[in-house]
Amino acid sequence: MTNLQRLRLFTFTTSSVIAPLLVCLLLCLSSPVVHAGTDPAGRSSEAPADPYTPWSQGRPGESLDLLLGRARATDRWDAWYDAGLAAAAAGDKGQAVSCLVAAHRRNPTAEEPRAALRALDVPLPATWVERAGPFSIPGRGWFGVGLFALAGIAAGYGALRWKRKSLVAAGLLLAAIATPGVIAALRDSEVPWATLVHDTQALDSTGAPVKSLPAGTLVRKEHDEAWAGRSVVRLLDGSVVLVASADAERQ
Amino acid sequence: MRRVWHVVLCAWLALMVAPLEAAEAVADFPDPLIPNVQMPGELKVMDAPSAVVNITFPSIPGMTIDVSDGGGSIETRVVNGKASTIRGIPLLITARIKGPTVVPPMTVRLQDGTALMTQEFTVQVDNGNPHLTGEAYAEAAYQPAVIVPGEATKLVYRIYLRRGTVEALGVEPPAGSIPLGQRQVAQSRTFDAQGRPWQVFTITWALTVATPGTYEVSGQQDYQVAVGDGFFDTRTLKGRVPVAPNTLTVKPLPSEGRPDDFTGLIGPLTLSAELDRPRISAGEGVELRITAAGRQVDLLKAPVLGLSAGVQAYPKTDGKAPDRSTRIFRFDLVPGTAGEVAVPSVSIPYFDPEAKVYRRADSRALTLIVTPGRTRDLGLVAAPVSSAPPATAPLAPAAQPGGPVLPNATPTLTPLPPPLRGDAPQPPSPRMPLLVGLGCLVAGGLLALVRLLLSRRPAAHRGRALLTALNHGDLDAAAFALASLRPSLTTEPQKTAAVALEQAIDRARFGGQALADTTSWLRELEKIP
Repeated sequence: MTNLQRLRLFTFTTSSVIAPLLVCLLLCLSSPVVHAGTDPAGRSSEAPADPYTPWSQGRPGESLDLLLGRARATDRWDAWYDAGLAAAAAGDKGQAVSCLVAAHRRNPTAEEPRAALRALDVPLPATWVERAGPFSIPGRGWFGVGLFALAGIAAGYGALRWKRKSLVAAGLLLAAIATPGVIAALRDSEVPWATLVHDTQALDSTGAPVKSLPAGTLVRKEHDEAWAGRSVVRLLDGSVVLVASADAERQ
Repeated sequence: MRRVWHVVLCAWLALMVAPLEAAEAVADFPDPLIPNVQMPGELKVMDAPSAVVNITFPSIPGMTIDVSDGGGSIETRVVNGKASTIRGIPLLITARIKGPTVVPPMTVRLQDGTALMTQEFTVQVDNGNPHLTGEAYAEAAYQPAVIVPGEATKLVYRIYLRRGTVEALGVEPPAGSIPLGQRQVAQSRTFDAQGRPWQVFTITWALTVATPGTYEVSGQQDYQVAVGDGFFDTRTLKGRVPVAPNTLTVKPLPSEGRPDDFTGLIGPLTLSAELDRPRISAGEGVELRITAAGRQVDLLKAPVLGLSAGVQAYPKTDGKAPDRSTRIFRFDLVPGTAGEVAVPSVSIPYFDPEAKVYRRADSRALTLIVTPGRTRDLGLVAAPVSSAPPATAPLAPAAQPGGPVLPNATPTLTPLPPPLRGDAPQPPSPRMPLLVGLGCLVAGGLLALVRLLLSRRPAAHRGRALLTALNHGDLDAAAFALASLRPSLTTEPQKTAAVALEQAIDRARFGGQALADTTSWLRELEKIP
């Protein structure tokens, strides 16, 4: 083996290793942070063995705090979902809707949070995943990640090795297949839903009450910042009002 | 006959007096009057029954009033089908003494012998606004200019125009301010130091700020003036003036004396408490109403009642407030036993911006008398809580054996699905496919780029490669290097040396002979790149 052949082998091997490493780095950066005090499965090591036990014994209110703590620690969508169900069982509709919306935001493709919200009579407006229908299926979840990874490698390699036009075409085709599901999930996760966790008043810009809003009302936050303790929100009927920021929670 | 004449005379007098009752004379003077400057005014005679013959001006110390030679004006207005005529008589007023000056009634004599009197009024004689020079001037001011977070202030923006109009405002409330209402716009007239009239547009915003700091308002005000003599010779000139800036200082709330339970509420605030009945029977409930009155009551949370252990408090929706500065918190209190129940005072801290100190608003402590009365066993009407999943339990995870059981006291119309118990697959972040795709795109590009660069690597030095191969005794490599040199041989000695070297290498490779001395041939060939 000549020096030239050795050099070619070295560079090819190095490049082949760099690409997966780069992908792994991106995966680590984009995956949810696991806080201290959690086991590898993402469950809090400080929490009791089974937070569902009080709920099984007819005391969902006692499970609620434990499940909320677990949801905040792990930030898993199913943890938020269970906390929402426990809150609904405890009669805290505001907290229930807030947790279920949080679960939906963390996994927009899951049907469970939307079904639970419908059961609580707080249906989410049509989501992008629902609108995309079957076109969103290839881009969902890890399958979508794989499709985009293949598409990226094929398109990136083929773009500079222009003789491989078929590679570019294949990459673009894969990306086109996965894009509807990915974009729909991304858009659904970015909708700034907030929930009124207490009975409150909708205020106009002068601070005058416009109408009463019950706990569990779903609103969209128009701005992230609050003014004098009030947030600008848009109700589902399209009207824009101010509510006390402490009453509008976004998990 | 005499009686008939009386009736006719009365009718004639009524006809003569009736129009006079509707007639009126009003003096319209500039305010303020600039000292020693002759300023235009107007005397308006409304619905006069006949022409004006004479005007008698009162004698006023330090003020001269004359009728201008510019001629008058007549304006007819129709309001609700009733026409009225206003005759304007131009005046020239010159005041010489600063200060308020009382203008006594002026007498307007009409051609029919009647007279009209103006009302007595007071006019201010003072210097004009010295800032008013050129065509326009704009200034902004906060009133007050120093507040604490949450305290109300007003941003007053005044645009002075010698002539022309404005289409857009040059300043707006600063970023971070919170509007407390719609802006107010007013238009008036003022005078400069030379006594010339100016239009004034005053725009007022009521606002407050939540964050301490300084908030400057400044900008540029555009205006436009129409110039020209006629319809076809009218041009619009645009101009711009800087707005005199102003700064609002928002001081942080003082840390001294701040109560631990202070939540940022700016006063004033008053609290009152009342029970709908002072005396109830055991087992009954009573409504406690706590009324908060203040400017920020909508930010208040329901107060925490420090009730004794035997009393249950159930918060209700807020009561209907008479105005937006009032909020009524309602609680249902249900004492468990008979006796006197103390409803303690509710105390809420707030900051008093007037006195710059923290204060507390306290409601009155109340006493509820609970007399022994009827009781009922709630256990008879409540279903026992079962540890087994009910068949049709709302919200119950019936599909999952051993799943949580929900209390029967929380009815829900639609069954909810069972909990997932952390077993659901965790999907990737919604951004992950895009990030991974982008990363792989870059990685694929890098891979292709590296291979591209390697394929274009310049060839090795063939002469030196030949020398190296012979030095190492690698005859195959030497033959390969010599073959690669062939196309570059240009001179006869090089070609001769190459042929000789090739023959020597072949004899050594295939003939089993020792390699001859190649020094002279290599000297010819080693420099070929």
